[in-house]
Amino acid sequence: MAVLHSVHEHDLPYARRERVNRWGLWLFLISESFMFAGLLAARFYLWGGTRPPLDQTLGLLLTSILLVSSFFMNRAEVAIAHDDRPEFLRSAMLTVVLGTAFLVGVVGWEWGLFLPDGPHLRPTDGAFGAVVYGLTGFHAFHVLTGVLAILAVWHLGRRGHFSARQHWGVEAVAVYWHFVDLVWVFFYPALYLIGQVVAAGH
Amino acid sequence: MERRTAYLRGWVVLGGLAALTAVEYGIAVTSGAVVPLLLVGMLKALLILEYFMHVSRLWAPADQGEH
Amino acid sequence: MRHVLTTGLVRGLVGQAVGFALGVYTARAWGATDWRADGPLAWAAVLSVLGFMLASGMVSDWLGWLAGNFAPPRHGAPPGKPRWWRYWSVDYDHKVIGIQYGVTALVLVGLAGSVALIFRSELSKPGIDFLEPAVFNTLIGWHGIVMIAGILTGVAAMANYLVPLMVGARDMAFPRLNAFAYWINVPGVVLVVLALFLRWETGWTGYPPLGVQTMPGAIPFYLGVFVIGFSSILGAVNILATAFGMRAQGMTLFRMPIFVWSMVATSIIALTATQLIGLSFVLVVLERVFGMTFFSPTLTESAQALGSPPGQPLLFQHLFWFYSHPAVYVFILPGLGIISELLPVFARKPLFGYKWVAMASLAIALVGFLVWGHHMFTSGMSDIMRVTMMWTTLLVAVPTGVKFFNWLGTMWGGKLTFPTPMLFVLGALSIFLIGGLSGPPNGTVSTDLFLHDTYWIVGHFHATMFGGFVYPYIAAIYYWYPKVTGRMYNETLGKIHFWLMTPAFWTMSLGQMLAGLWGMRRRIVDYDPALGVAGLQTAVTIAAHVIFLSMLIFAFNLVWSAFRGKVAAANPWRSRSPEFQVPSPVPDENYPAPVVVVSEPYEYGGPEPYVVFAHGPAAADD
Repeated sequence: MAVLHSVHEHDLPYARRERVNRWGLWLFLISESFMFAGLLAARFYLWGGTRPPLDQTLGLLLTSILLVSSFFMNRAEVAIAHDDRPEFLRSAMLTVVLGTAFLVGVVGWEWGLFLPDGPHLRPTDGAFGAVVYGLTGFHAFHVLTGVLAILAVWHLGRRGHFSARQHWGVEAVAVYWHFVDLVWVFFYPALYLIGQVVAAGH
Repeated sequence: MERRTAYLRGWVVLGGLAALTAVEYGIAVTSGAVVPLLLVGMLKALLILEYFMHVSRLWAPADQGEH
Repeated sequence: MRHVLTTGLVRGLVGQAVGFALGVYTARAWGATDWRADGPLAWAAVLSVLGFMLASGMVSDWLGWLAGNFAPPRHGAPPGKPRWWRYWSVDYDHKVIGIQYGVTALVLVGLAGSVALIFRSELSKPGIDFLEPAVFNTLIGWHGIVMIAGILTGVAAMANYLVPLMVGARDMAFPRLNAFAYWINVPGVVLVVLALFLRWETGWTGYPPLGVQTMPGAIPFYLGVFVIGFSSILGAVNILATAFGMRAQGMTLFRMPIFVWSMVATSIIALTATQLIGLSFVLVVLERVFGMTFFSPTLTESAQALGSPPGQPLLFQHLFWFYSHPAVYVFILPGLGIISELLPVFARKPLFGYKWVAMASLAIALVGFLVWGHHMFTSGMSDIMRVTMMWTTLLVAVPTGVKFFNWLGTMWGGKLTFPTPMLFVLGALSIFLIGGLSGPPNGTVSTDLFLHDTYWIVGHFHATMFGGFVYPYIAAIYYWYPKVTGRMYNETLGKIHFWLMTPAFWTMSLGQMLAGLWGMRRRIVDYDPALGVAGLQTAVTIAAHVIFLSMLIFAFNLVWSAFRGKVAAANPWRSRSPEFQVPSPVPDENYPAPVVVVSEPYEYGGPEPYVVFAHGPAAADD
């Protein structure tokens, strides 16, 4: 099972090991947040008080999907913390489905891969295109890695790994997933809400 | 924490996030001003950080916190 | 031969070649005609890095987790392999990784130095003699970026080898991540070498719009640096987690050897700021590959129809220098830590103002985040930013001054001895002093406007790099050489190294500064004989060759002594630091049992032998 076997007397006990792991994960997230902050800085530097006319319904929908997915990820972690394996597997899989739906929404509609006439806004369209595709692209890549990570712990959980006492793997993936959600909490207003829409065609 | 309470808290946080998102959208269609939107974003972030990401486990004593 | 082929290095490089070929092949299959076009090249570069990762074995354990294999990392040497094998393969022992980093650093610095000799020779007299301008521009950029990679790996070498030992731990907090952070450098460096052959003309800073327009070498350059950045970030995670989570019982925060404090400060910068250079470089690649105009101010017709604002070249400089200035402190803070670490040993006195030195490192790190704009005084940045950044820049002198006076206080009245490591520490002090004093003229807007694009800057930052990193790194290698190898280096050769290198460096650095004051511009292949700098340039070129010669002596000393040197004692320097209380070379598990630290780090002058550890009951879980 997901036990770190003690092979050497120096090896840390699980509780302390988990604590060090947790610090390591958060340090990595702090690092990542600087990258996302840099992207936000680029958005404000280039766009100022303007924004392109993006599809508001899609933006709201994507945001809702991601928030609900975070709810289910949290539910999965609570479940495994109480040894409720069926609920853990169900919630984790729902998170995967919602995360995938988010990706499909971004790639299929915002990037226009599923639209017959292609996207309204293209990556080559000045700072508008660059920032929209840059921010959603960096974020979507993290969503993708998150989905893969959740699939990994789901797979391990199905094979009987993790318990109420020892489930650092689930916690780590959950925290990462919430972090990706947290980034979108700022990207959503930055891309869709803040500033005035520029009137097209001048 | 009791299992029921823990599940329930998830629902409450989700409700809070939904309400704040609605407020956010409302601000956007009426003014689009930066400061209130970022403030709402901060509130959502705080909810996620504390209740989903359990940031306080970082400084909790070693043997406490949820496991 | 069979064993050579199974090393992680060889397997990884083969994997990288296969990945690259696969990228070129698929790009062809999708209709690309020239693999050197931006899209195919970037795609092949990404696949090549993945190929290296999979083939070298650096991610094998993590992939094994997916199969439910949670076996702990292997301890000790691999069975059935010769002893050298683990140094060329993925190994989780922090000491092996430290040596891997250390040797890589020397190789990179040697390569970058050789390249410098080439364009230095071109500059020794006016006129274009044997380097085309495009090649010259590629070489100066390559020299800069490979030196930076060499310095970063050198810093990581010291951190990996020393931090776990100094805090009384068995290993780093995350040994697998540690190995990953080392090995990810290799495919990155391979990409940067590829850039040398494909050429790019921006220099190491990669400024767009030129970065978008220049030759295809820009793609492997940007991506290679991006990949190397992973090493810094993940290494920083590991060092911070080790310093705060893996300390032995009794090793309180203010008992940590001062080098650990300097690595904490360094890691805070590397952890956060590195993301910004990675981001800025990836954004340029996106601009080249997908036409996403973050930085080019031109607008397409459809962008104009949408009313989009244009890209901004200055945005790149902000993102880039938000890392690349603090990066300077990543280079020098560990070096200053080494100086603080070695001075008490060779003065036989406590480190003067330990807490002040520790806090000064943190202060330099934090203020360092607010000074990036001083690289942009001539770029057209707003006056408010220029003046603000001038003040914050000059503020850095305060904690640096604190360190200097603490070093003087440590030496004052001490019983100084002068073996080679101490000579290099003192050499570092003198050079860093000149590097530091030549800084304020560039940090002040009014004088920087005249100095910015001249050789004055070249002289200034070579002095800070030599004083802040190169000299302390050499001192550290000499000082810990007996601890690492179990043998003593040759003292005579060490002294010859020092007395050749130091006057040569002074000539080089002061000559560069003077040439700058006389009007010699930097980053340029040719200059006007009427400037009167030809004599200076010749002197600088000769000095550079002498430095290189002295480094060859250094390399010879290291290799020769490893086999033929005198067998070293456990504690040749009578140090109080934890790592000197165990045999040389350090045993596999560092300490025979969990240690309990009972003494302060720098209480020199008292009766010897020092009692550093209590041999009480094994440290329990806290």
